[in-house]
Amino acid sequence: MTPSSSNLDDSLREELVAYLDGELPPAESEAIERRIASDPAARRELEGFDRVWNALDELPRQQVDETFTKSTIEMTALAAEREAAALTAALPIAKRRRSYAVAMGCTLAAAVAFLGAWGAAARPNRELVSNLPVIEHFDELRAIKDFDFLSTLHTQVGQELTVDNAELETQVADWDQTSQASYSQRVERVQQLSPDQQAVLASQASRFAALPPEQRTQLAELDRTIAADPKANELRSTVLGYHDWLNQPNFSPADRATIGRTEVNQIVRQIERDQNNDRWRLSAEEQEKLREVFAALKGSPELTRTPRELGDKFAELRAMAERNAERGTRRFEGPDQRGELQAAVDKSPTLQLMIVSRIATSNEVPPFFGRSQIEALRQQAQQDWNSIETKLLSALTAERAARLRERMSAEDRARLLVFATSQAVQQSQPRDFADFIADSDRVSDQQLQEYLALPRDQMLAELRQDFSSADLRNDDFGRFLRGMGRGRSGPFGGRGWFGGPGDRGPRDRGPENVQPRDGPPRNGPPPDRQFGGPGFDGPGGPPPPPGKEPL
Amino acid sequence: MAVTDSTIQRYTHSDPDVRLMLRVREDDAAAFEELMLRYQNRVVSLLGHLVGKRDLAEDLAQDVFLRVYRSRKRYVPGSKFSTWLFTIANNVASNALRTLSRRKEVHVAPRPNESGALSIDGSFAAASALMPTRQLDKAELRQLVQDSLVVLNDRQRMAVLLAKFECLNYNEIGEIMEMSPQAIKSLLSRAREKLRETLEPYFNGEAKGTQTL
Repeated sequence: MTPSSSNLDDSLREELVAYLDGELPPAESEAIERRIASDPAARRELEGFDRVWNALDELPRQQVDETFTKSTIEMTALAAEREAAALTAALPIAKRRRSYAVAMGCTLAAAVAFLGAWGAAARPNRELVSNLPVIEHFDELRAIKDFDFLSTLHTQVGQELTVDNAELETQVADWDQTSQASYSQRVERVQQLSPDQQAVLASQASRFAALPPEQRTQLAELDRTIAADPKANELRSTVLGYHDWLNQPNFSPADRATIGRTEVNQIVRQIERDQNNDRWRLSAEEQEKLREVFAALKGSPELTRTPRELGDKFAELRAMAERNAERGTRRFEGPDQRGELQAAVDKSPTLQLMIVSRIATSNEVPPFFGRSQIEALRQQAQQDWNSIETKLLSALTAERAARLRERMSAEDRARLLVFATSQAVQQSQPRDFADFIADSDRVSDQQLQEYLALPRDQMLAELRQDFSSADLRNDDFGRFLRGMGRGRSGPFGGRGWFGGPGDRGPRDRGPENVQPRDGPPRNGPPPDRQFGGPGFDGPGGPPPPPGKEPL
Repeated sequence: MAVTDSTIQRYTHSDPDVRLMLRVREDDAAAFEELMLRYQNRVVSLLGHLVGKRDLAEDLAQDVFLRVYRSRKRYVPGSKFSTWLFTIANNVASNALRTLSRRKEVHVAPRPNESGALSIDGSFAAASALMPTRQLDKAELRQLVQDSLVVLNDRQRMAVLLAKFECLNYNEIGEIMEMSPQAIKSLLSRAREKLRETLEPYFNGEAKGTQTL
């Protein structure tokens, strides 16, 4: 305390302050002025008060933003709404008191008018801002039944759901940031969104608001539980990945509804299976490149010489059969009695590719051949196939090519590449397709009738398959191929030595024969119809859309 | 207290904000928004200095405006609009401060030390360590002044803020705080004496290390 202040009494101090504040009547003001003129202590005191009072100008003044105004107005509009609701509830009673009712009615109308005037102005509101992390991930969180469901998904298929999705990391970081943001930071975030994003958010907010209160609480609780978990961001990745999986285009709304009612372990199995297939799905660009590479290979020695030599060996077999028939010792029912196989092989580069790859990578021996006959061809076939394989792999993304090399045996890889190539070739020009149907030598009337009897999608799928394998569809030759496969069980389940797109005709439509019969080797459990409806690759499902054939 | 027609007319005539509030009474939403825009910064600033937390101040300010809306039908222009508005703000702030003090959550830094005496350590210590070798810079002064409010009790702080920022006279402050003008005169005098004791050493170069008040 300064010496001066202690010397002054309280009443003089009050007068000095009131003088400074302009609160003294004229006579008292004059008395104070006389006092300070004659009393240095009082003058110092006055100057001190004045200086300190002026220093208070330094106190910061707050500036609120537009959001404050809007959210306050919205709160007030909400109050008006409640007022209106309360008045509406009171109306039956009010009817008994007519004059009161009239007055209430007027107030009600005014409250409603208030609401109307403010309806559009008030965004973002407090509700939106406080629930922003939930509202922003409304659809994603809605797909998660509860935290246990999420934990199971995360433990069992978290990896599968999030692999190869570079965007997830950003999205998760974003989610985390919103979750930890203060109220004002969230407001800022909402304001920085583009008008389109704001519209999406507004729509999600209104859907959130439309939920029953207990469901809103559940969702908010789920988000809080995730946020509180030590693995919060991994769980968020799973939430987002699961939502992506659920929203793949080949699920219909009905599928999604069914999945929503399905037990988590069953969903886990389905995801495992899907991810297995997806891993080998080629992009349209890769398919295009594959077609180019394969077109360049057509007619090249590496593709043709092994099939040709195999054809020569067939010719030897045929000659032997004829000799045997002439001798009458045994009627030989062997293959290619009329040289049709050789003609077909010459005409079909796809078949040539199959032959080279199989001889190069498989230890199996086709029927009617001796092991030594095939071994003689193998070395050359392996050399050719190595070259062909390198070219085919160059059509794929480096990542996929590396994965194929690392994770698959040479034999499985060969089969995949042949399959992928034949699928890519099938996506060829519609004009060829039309020519194919119109060509009565290739499609008989009966076959045409069978095609036409099919539903459109299935017909196109069948045509696509048969078009590429038309050269192999000759009855005798088909029998031959099926004969080759009989009794053998290769790595792909006894589909025959040339198992692949070839061994298939319009009449061969058994239930086991529905696509993706010629799909990739499956590491997971066999396809089963778990959820029904189109989209799953179980029996009855349509083929994958063009350009997205499973590889 | 009954308000005479002449008083109503006087304030309606002299105070444009009273006229806006009369439109709000007739459920004019635009008038309410206009009033909010005019007063929101002032109300938030006042409450911010009273409770020490920006977000809480905004919440309380929203409550103030909500009460204005809810009271609209009972509004009678017996004083300037600002007087009426700050009466509501004072009530809201008093309630909040009571609740906070029960929860011991008022943070108008610096806080009382364990002995119960206020030890202005933070900025005061920093500033005093520098004195009297140089003048306080603007930021230091601002922090010092802001911190000095802690020496005031809630009522003194309210009266100071209303007098300083709202330029209200003793009558109006008394009306808002439900005190006589004479009581406001004493209240403000004691408040300013406290502020002077706290701040003047820094202006006069008389600092002697950390101040204990």
